[in-house]
Amino acid sequence: MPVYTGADVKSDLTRECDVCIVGSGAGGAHVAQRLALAGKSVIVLEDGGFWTSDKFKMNELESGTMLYQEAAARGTADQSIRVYQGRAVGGTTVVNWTTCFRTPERVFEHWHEHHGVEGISHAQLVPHWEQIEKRLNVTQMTLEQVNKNNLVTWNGAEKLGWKKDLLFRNVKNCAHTGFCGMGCPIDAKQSMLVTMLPEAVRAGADVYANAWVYTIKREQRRCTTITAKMRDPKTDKLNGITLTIKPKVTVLAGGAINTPGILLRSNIDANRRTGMRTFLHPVVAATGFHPEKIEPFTGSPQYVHVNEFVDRGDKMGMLLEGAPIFPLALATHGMNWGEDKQKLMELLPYVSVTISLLHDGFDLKNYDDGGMVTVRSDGAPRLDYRWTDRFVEGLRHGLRVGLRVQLAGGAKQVMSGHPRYARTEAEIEEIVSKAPFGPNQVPVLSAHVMGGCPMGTDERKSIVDSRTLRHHGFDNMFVIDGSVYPTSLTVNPQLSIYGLASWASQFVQQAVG
Amino acid sequence: MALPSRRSVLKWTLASGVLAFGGGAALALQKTQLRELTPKLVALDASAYAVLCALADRLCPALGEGAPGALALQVPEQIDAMLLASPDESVREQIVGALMMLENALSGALFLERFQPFTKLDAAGQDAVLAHMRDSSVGVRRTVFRALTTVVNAFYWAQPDTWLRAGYGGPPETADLREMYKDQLVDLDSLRATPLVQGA
Repeated sequence: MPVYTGADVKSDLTRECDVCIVGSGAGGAHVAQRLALAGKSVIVLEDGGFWTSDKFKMNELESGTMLYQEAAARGTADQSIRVYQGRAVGGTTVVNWTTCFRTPERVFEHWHEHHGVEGISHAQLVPHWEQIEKRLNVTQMTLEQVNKNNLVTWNGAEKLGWKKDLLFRNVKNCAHTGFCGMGCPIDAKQSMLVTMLPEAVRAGADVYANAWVYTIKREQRRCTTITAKMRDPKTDKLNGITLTIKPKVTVLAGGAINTPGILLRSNIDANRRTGMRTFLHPVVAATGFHPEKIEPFTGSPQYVHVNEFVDRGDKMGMLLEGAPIFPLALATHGMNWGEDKQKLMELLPYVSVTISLLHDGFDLKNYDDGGMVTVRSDGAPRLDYRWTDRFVEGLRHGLRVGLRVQLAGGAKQVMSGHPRYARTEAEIEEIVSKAPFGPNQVPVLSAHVMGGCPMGTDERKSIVDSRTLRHHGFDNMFVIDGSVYPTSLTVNPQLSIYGLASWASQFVQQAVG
Repeated sequence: MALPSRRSVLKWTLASGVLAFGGGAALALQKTQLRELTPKLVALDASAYAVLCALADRLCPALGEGAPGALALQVPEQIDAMLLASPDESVREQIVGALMMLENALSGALFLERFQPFTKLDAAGQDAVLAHMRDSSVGVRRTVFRALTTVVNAFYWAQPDTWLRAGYGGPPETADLREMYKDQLVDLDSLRATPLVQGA
């Protein structure tokens, strides 16, 4: 019942268990804890390393290499959207900004009406969320706690008369240092690394870090074998050792992008839908320059959100949030260089940021909306994303409202990522209407990947049965992570996935028998 | 750091080759201005390293005392080391492909009427090339711009020597913080199969 790393597996190894869980993040950790406490033998496989909080690096580059997928270089194939996903024991929960939302009821209603989702509802997940919120100390921030950076977004929305609210976070005794994205150095963040996974291990689960699951094998409707290639924990390179697991039941929980990647590498794609409809909550950032110091790198990353633009009719909805910024992030955001870049960087302490998370996946006229995961010849996943007119309109509006919030919140000048500058609302409109908004013409990023293995009851359109999260093609394999969502969630996903995993654990347990 | 799509880079390289046979061979084959002193490289060859140095020097130039540029902070050497360390072996191939596209005088001649490789241009000429790549109507050129500028800026601005200029005092001393919050630290080391060697 320990945590093994690549250094502990000296030669090829085969093991049997009741449940093998691929991925140790929001979905996998919850299932591991539930099943281990139920007395089942559980093995968790995680591609990333086993890092404890004393090892975290409070440096964007070092932590990016250590804790993020593809050393924080993951993105769409054309690099027009950078995608930040965690890669460590604990998954993205180790590096997220701790923002917690329950899945909105309107999103479930949309899935029921348009995506054939049955057998799961908002009401069914409420007791799971209540239990998890208590366990992970999910609490709402107070206005007194809000840092200067987020206060700009709050005050701007107030002045504009836009709906807003304070965020909930899963932290305990938080020092508000602002380094959530690099791993909490004091275990205040109630990530899976310090909560569900230790409970699972103490209850008997084994965790293998540095284990890259390459393929799964099937016989008829049963998943029989999972093959992982081990990595040297010091170099992160494959070391030629293979770990083979023969489980009664398999749970894929590697997250959107990786889970479809495993299925596609294993040639499991009966309806040719695996990896389709992958959604990103694409983010466009608005930067404001203020007369007083903001120091956007101090205080917790997020305290506030603006929900004025969630429903835009036929157009793409969006959620605005405050967001932190550190030197590397600002330097790689603006598309300028040389002395211009240096001057911009000197203004960092006076910068505030508002981000707009776009709600992709709701275009009823374009079913193959969003992104698509495929695999490269070397087996690594590849993500492509469609820049539709609807998406570009969303980017323009997201930037418009973000810049307006910054201006209303006290900025004397605002900046888009192009970069283009404005001092008035009229100048903001000039940017929004005239600046280019194509791939790699404006910086866009994502920290929330969803879809690719959507749940539903129609086997032609979905990958996973929404009544149990069992893969349609298997009797003993489940998918329990963000990939099962039929659209984007419209809110930060971690709490949604926790609730989903808690609910779905009962079906995994039934399958084990 | 961002990387271009390998398929896109290969496609562009192929297109450049076809064009070269169409009459632009002399331009395409112009030699890179190599660096006088080339350190022991582990992933890049001397040509790719020279292009990376020229790019890094233009993106993050030295701006006087207290403002060392990317070359003084050995950004190209750090990127070279990163490419060797990367578990994804295709990363080196992609970065080199992107650097050589930037350097390629033939593509410069086609798109910008410049007839010299990037390494032989003055600062204004290099700025014109970079601006043209950023604003290009050809998607892969924008991809290359984003990929290369991102990797150089990331390695430069992640260095503590640059932080003060950005008004950033750096992270708090985590040992002190951990001492203050020691009662809530979670003992994960006891879960390890093999105890960690002290200092490892």
